[in-house]
Amino acid sequence: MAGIELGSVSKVYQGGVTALKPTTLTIPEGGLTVLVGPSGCGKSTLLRIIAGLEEPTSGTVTIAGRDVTQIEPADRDIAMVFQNYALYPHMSVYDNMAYGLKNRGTARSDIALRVNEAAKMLGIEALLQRKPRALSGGQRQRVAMGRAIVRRPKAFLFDEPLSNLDAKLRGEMRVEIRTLQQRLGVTSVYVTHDQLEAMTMADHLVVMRDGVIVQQGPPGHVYDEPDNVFVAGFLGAPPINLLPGTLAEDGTLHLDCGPHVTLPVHPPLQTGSKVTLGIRAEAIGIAAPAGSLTATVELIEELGPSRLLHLRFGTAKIIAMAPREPALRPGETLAIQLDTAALKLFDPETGRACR
Amino acid sequence: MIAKRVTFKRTGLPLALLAPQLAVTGIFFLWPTFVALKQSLYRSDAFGLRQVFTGLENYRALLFHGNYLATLERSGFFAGCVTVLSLAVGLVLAVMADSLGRSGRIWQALLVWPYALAPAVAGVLWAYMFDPAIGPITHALAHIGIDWNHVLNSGEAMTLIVMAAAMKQVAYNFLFYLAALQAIPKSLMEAAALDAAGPVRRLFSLIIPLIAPTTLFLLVVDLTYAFFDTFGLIDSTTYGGPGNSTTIMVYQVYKDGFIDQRFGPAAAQSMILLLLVGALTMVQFTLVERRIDY
Repeated sequence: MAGIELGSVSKVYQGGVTALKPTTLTIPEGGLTVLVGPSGCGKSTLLRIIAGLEEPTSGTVTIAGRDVTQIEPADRDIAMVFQNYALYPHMSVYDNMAYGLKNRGTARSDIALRVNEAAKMLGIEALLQRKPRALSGGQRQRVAMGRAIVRRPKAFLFDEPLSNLDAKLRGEMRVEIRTLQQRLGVTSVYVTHDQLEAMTMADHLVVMRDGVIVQQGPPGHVYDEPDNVFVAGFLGAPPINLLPGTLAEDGTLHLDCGPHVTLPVHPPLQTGSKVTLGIRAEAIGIAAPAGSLTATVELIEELGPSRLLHLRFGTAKIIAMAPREPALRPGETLAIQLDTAALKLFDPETGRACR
Repeated sequence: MIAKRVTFKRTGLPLALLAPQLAVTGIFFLWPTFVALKQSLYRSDAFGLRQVFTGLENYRALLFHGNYLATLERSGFFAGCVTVLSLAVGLVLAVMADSLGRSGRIWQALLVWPYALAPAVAGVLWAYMFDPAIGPITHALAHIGIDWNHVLNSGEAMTLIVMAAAMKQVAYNFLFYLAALQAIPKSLMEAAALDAAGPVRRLFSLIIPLIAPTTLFLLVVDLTYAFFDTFGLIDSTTYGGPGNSTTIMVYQVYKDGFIDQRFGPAAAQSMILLLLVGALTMVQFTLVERRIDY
């Protein structure tokens, strides 16, 4: 594999703050790898170490088979898109995109060719003579991407590129970046704190927390099979419902909030152990045949195609995603059904999944 | 938001509050200016006993006779040198201090010190260090074969006052440049680093254009300083000499008016200086208001 390899890379800042614990990661070639996690989890530090803007305290960085740990950012053959775009305000769009090529001594005609090609790809040909201040947020974003594309690098690095855009534009740009990345087939690393962006864009999802990679894999797999309670809670909107309980002798789970839930298989745990049950909103169904579990509707949020039901389940509150029918109103008590295949059990002490 | 404007019910209180400022402005600024303007239109004897109205004769004499044009030229040269030197040195020091990050704080503090020095004190120190007989720097220069004597050599005298005047503005420019540099987003420099721009290229193609508004502002401030605030410095180092070689406009006014007692021409020169400072101030105000922002 000739993507990006990180060999036990770590970063400790002056003053002893550890941003990144020794981390080994393989970023597959040609795909889009998303680093996601809450702020302060070390994802940006990791990206900046790949870029060479931050020197790792230990470890090695290999890009396309070449050890670049001691190599200057400019010579790493990577291009980066910054959160605030970092466009040169006194230069035209054309010059912004051409600057890196000029500095590398690329022939003038070649620069023009590449800039025009990238501008066409991004639909910003008409803006080439403008200054960044005369552009909208989305246009600036495109120029920043254009500046990366013209370099034809071995890897693209994106540092929360959409966080300054409004929600609608963010959705559009998400698709655009994804399409472009697939078309160019360049290894890309994308940092975000937005789980939706991470889920929708990633080929390979890397979830980080407190300077450690907690889980990685294809986004669907990470979503379905979270290794721990943090990953389960971080991915997905509305967040997963977490209900503490105790495992009873007959294999049922006695939830602290009251109800008893029958588990499909007996988990590899001793009777009487404490567990946390994780159940996603879409795995809670409104049962047509009256089931043994009931819940009371407290609030209904209409989403359009579906709706979120805020339910009182015993003494706990849970959120269920339900179709628009049948009509319901707050205060009503319903029978609910849990998709037993989708039940997750976590150790409340360590947070790890019990499988 | 709370309104910043205070509304008074009667006019008495606001007038009373304004009175001290109006009195100071009137007595110390407007009245002397008016007297100087009047004086510039008269010819008077050395004791001020007799005055003859001569219209613009004093101005005509300045501009068409004598050595006033040479003084103008000399002042321009002096101001230009001081401005360019102090801007360049201020910028270089600011870039260096900025690149040090946090550890540069102590340098920042030290570099601002010269600004706190009174011009006369600074002048005396410079004159002492370069004194032809006892100056330590003169001694050092003699070792490398330079026979420094600003008392006799007009070029050296000019060099001395340019250096002395620039030193003070270097501190001022340094401070403003440092603030301007720190206002440049860090990611811009990182993007440039990825775009293969080395430190020198970054300075010329990014930093200097980005801090151009600061440079324009400092240009006006430095010129104003060099033209008008350097009297104390010159009067404590070269006394305008040797000959007239360091006599710039403000010093010429002093020489003509206070030493030679030629009140009319001195007053006319004051008016010319007033016009110049007025013009520079106008430029400054328009710059500050129409700050070029990206």
